[in-house]
Amino acid sequence: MDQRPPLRIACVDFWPGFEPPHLGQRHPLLHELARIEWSEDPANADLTFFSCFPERKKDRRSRDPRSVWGCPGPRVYYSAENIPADFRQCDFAITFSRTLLDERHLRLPNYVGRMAFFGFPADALLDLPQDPEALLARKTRFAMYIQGNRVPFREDFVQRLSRYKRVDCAGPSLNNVGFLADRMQKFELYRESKFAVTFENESALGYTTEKLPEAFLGQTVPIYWGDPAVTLDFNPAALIQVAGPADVDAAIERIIALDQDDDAYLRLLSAPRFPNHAPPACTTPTAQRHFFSRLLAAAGIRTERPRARLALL
Amino acid sequence: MTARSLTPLPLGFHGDRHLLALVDGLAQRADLYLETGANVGSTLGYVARRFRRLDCLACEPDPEAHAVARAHADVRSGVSVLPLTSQDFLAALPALRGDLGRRTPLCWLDAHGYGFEWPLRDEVAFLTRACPRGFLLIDDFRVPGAPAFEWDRYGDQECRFEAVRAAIAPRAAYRLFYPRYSEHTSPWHGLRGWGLIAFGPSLAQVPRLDLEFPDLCRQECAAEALPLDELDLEGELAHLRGLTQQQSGNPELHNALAALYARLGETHSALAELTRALELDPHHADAGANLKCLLEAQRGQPGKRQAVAPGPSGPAVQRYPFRDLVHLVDAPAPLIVDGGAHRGHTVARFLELFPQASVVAFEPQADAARDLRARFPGDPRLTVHHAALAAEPGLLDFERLANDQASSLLPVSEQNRQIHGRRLDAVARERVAAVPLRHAVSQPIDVLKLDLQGYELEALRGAGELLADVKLILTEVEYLPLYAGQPLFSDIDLFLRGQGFRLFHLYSTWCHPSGQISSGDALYLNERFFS
Repeated sequence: MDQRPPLRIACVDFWPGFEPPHLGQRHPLLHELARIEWSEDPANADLTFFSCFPERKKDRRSRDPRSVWGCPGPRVYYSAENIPADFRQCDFAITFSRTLLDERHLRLPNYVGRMAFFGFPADALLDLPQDPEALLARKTRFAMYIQGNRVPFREDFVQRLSRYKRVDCAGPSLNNVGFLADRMQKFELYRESKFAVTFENESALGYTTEKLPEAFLGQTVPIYWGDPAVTLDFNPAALIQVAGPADVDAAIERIIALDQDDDAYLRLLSAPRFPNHAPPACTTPTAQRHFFSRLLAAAGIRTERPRARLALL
Repeated sequence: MTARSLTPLPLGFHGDRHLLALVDGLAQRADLYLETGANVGSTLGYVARRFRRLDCLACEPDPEAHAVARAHADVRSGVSVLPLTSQDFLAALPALRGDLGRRTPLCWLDAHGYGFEWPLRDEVAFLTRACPRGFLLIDDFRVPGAPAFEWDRYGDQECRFEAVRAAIAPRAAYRLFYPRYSEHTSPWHGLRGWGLIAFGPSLAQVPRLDLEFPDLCRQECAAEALPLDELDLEGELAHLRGLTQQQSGNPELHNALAALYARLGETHSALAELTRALELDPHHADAGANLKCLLEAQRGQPGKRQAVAPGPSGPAVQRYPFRDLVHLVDAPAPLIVDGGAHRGHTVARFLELFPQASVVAFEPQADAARDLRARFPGDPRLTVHHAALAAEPGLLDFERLANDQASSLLPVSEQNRQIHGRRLDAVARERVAAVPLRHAVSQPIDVLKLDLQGYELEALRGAGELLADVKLILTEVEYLPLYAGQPLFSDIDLFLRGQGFRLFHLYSTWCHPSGQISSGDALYLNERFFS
């Protein structure tokens, strides 16, 4: 029985389908640090997390939960989108931003929480293919593209790459396989494919979503466009980065060369996913623990292990 | 990330009771119902059941939603939902309905959402050309002056009339209607905005729905089937005059007539009609508002502040930008962006002059950014980005000079080097993060200050649509190229004028011993906010 005092957390303006306990599944550390009670009433919560989906619709202008609901405790802006924090509306923020120098902010790309939510261990991206050659031998598809949102640059790239070899499209966008891949099928399909087109919906500094890491988890080589500084987080030797529209032709040439050179391809497939085998410091449990501890302290919850009292006898 | 319900709702059109009543009226005039972005078919199913004589065609590209929509709308013959995108649907429409050129469609356009390029403009362009008359009811549409209505706005795309106006066929006359009500009646959704473009061969053939349904909609504007410069205001005036004579006790008509007189500059006639409207209905909200606008127009422009900063005037005066800003900033807690904040000299000034302000500062040099953060320890009013402001995100080379305040993303020009000599020697090269302002700030900005050594125009471009919500811009400008390839004052001035800003004053003009001016500061006002 957890004897710690409860911490009531409310979650408001999150995306459609989100339920407050999902936050705990995305960040199990919260449960480790405090006894969480999910509150439906922000006006009586100790801590309020809010995102940028007022009325469940994405909006670049998030709402101050204090002015809308009268939240009494600290407000934590939690963005899974490329929408910045406004510290007039929040006391802490978890976003993609690489550039904010602020103790109130934790850069935590969405893929970190999403991997935990779907049950992947925190270090899953450190695992490399055991037998890359056998893996390559089992790959029957050239490239896989699984996306729902229709992004013109992304679709144009897929169509241009398809002029070389068929790109299998198993999402709603450009679907050409006759079915829509679900989550588990996605990883299976990635395992069968040499490459995965993992372009983001938009290009923004620090905005790395689950698309790239999921390709790694599916043991394929990602073809990536999005965060121009992605190689600060991920090993450039493990992915193919497309710098932008001007780089498309050269990128396709690089892909064709890799497709025709098994040795070069295997080097990419088996390269460590992170520079120096080290995930970005901000995504480590230590960084998260430090941030969440400060956040909970602001809500009145001490997370340090209580010091032993000295015997005064 | 975007889980959604696959259960259709029992009513269409969000279940908005007022909109449903308007649709009842529109459906009487239409012989074809078209819907794009049908999703799970709530609205299609509703229309199919309620208006059984209407021929119904819709599209929905998402396979799961399409399957649900098809089942939900399968209530009678003459109802089809196709698994197509809007673009493909419109392309197929002439083949599906060979007599489209003789039909009057009621269209529910809802194929706009997050993550794709909207087909809305193409839809409007196609339908106003393919059909002689019809009704384009656009969902999630911005209703000006009625912030209670939500509308769609993702990235550069915003669902509003300005975004589709140019797509309307020139030979179509149209009237634009918005909701008159503000009551929220939907059991499922927030109050969603809509716009209704009724079009036809001439204005006389486009119904005045605001007169027929005065509680439900208001007419925002009307355009004759001619280029704007030949718009037949006189014809419209004659038409309205005739209607007003027939229904002289109708305050709506007097109000509409007043608006037309106002557009023609006949303010006395406009005032007379508004007075008559208010005699007939003293609580007529639009007439009251119009009267207020008209009276304000005679005094000055409504909703705008007068740009007045008391101080020295006359020839050769010296003014100071921060003193002027004190008079021009009216928000008690302004949002200030300091681009090129260096070690916080101007941040300190801003916080001193505006103690309740929030300042978002950008500084590309790592040690300067750290010093800036450390200068205001724990001050919640300040947010510091270790980044350069730019047009697009990326990593850029930054040349650090002996005089680090002159460091820039651009190389020093030969002229500048001749003026300042060794102080402009490069001492280091750094790779710095570059962010567009639109990615780092999302709320309206009261003051945007830029001191970016030649990179100001790039930073302004990076503001994107946010620029329209910036009230004041204080920017460094150069009159001769101090950095290679940099834009000069004239480039910035042209750009900002094109964005609706006007120059208020030039400050701190730096003059070379030769007499040549090289740089200074310029203060611009957004004419949306200042008269």
